[in-house]
Amino acid sequence: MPRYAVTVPVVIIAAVLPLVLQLIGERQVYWLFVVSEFFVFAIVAISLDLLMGRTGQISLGHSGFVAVGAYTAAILNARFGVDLLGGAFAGGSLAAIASLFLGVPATRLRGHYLGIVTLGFGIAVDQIALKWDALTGGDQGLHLHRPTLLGLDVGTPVLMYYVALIALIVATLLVWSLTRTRLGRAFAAVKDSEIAAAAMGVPVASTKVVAFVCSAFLAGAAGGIYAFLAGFVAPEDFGIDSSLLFFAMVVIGGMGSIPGAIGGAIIVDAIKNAAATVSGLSLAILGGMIVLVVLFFPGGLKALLRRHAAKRTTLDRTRNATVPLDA
Amino acid sequence: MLKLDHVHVHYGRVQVLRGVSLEIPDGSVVALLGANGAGKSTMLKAISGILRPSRGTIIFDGEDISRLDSSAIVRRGVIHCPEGRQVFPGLTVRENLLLGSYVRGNPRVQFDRVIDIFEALGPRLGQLAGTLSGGEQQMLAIGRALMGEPRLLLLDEPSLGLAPLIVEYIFKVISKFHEHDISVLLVEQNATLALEFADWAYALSHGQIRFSQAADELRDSDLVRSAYLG
Repeated sequence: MPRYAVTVPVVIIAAVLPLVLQLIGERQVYWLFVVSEFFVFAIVAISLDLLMGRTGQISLGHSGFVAVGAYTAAILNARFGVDLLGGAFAGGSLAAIASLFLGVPATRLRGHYLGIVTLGFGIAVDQIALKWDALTGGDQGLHLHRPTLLGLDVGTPVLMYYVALIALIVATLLVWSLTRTRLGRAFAAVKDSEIAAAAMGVPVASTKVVAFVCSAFLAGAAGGIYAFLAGFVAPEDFGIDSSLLFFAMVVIGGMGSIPGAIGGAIIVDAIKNAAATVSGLSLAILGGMIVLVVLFFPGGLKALLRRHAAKRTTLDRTRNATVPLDA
Repeated sequence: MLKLDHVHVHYGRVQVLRGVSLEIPDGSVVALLGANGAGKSTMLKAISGILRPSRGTIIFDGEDISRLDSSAIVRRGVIHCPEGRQVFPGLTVRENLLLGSYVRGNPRVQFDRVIDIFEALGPRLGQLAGTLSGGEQQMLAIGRALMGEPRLLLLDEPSLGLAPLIVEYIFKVISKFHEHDISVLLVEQNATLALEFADWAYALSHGQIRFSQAADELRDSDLVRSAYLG
C-alpha cells in the first residue's frame, strides 16, 4: 500500500476536524485544545524518535528541552512581544544550545551516558524554573499575550489548532527528508554499528551530537508553540513525568518510524487524558505498557502494523499460487 | 605504502600488540596470519584509527597517521572492512553503499563500478541489508569499502562463515584489486586460502610478529605451517 494512501486521509480528517466539532457543538473548545496539544506532543515524539529510533541514543529528559523552549518563548513574548514564529524559533535555538553543552561531553562516552545526563537535566530544569522566579515567575508561572503569527491574530482555538497541525506537518516533513540525506544515513549507521560507521569515515561522536542537537531544537520549538497554545507556562507541565510520557510514546510507537512515533503519541496522550482524574494512574498504565511492549512487541506499534501488512501479502500470494497447497 | 613501526596497542590495561612492525609495498596483497586472539583485528583497527596506538608510528605515504581520527584516515584512502561484515542491517543495500562514500563527493561513478564488480547486488539495491544472505552481505561489505575509493584495503576475515563457492568468488575479486592500484592487508584464519592469493605473509602471535616471508615460499614450508598456521 503506498504511503500516501494512509497519509492523505489522515491529514484530511485532521483538517476538517474543527468543522465536525463545530457541528457537534459540545465542549468544542476543550476538544480543540486536547487535539492541538496532541499535535505539539507528537512533534516532541518525532524529535525524540530522531534521537532514539534513528541514532540509537537515549534521552530520558526530553521535557527539559520542551521546558527551555516554552519558557524562552513565554519570556520573550511577555517582555518583548515576540510572536509565535519567533518564540518557537528562539525556543528551539536555546534548547539546541543547551543540548550542545550536554551532548558534547556525554556522547564522547560510550553506552547510555546520554540517558543519564538527560535524566539529570530533565529533573534540574523544572526545579530551576520553579526557583528562579525573577525570570520564570516561579510556581505562579508566566502568562503570554494573545498569540500572533507574522502580524496575524491566531488567538482563537480553531486558528491555534491549525497552527499546531501545520507545525506537526512541517516537523514530519523536516525529519522525513533529513533521514534521506547523507547526514540521516550517518545517524542510522551510528545506530547500527559504530565500528562500521567509523570505518566508513563517519565521525561517530560528532554525528551523535548533531542528532542530539537537531532533536533538542525540534523539542524546544514544540515547547515554544506549546507556550502559545496554552497561553501560560508553569513548572509542573515539564517534570520528569512528562519526559517519561515522551519516552513511552517512542517505545510504544516503535522506534525509527515517524508514523510509529505519531501513533505512540496518540495512544499515550489518550491514556494520559482518560486517566487524568486519578493522579499517577496514567504513569502506572504506561509503565506497564512499556514493559509489555519491550517484552512481547519489541518493534512496537510500527512492527505490529508491518507484520499485519506482511501477513496479508503472503496470504494473497498463497491464494494466487498456481500450485495447489495440498499437492 | 604503509609501514608500521613498533606499534603498541592497549585495551585499557591489557596490552594486545607489543611492538609490531610491518610493511605493505605498493600494489601488493599482504596476508596477516595467526590464531584467534593473536591481535590481528586489533592491528587493523589501529591502522584505520578506530583504536589509537599507545606507542609507535604508522606511516602511510610518508605521513604519520597514527594520531589521526578514523575519518581523516578514510579520506586518505585507507579503508577498513571490519570483521563479521558489519553491514548496516536496517538500511537498504543502496544506503549501505552510499555510506561507503561518506567522505567522498560524488558517489555515482564508483557506485556503478561496484555494482559492476558485484553483480549480485544490483537487483537487491532496495532491499534491507539485514535480509541478505551471508555471501551477499560480505559482497556488500567489500563493495561498501570500495565506495570509499581505497588505496589500501584492510580486509578482516572475508571468508568467515561462507560457503566455499562464495569464498572462491570473493577471493577472485580480491585478487584483481591490484589492477586498480588497491593494495590489500588481508587477515585470515584460513592460512592455505590466504597464502594462495597473497604476495607476502606475516604471522602474528601473542601480539608480536613471529616471522614474515614470501607467500609462495611459505606455502611449501611444512615446518612453518605446522608450527604456526595449524
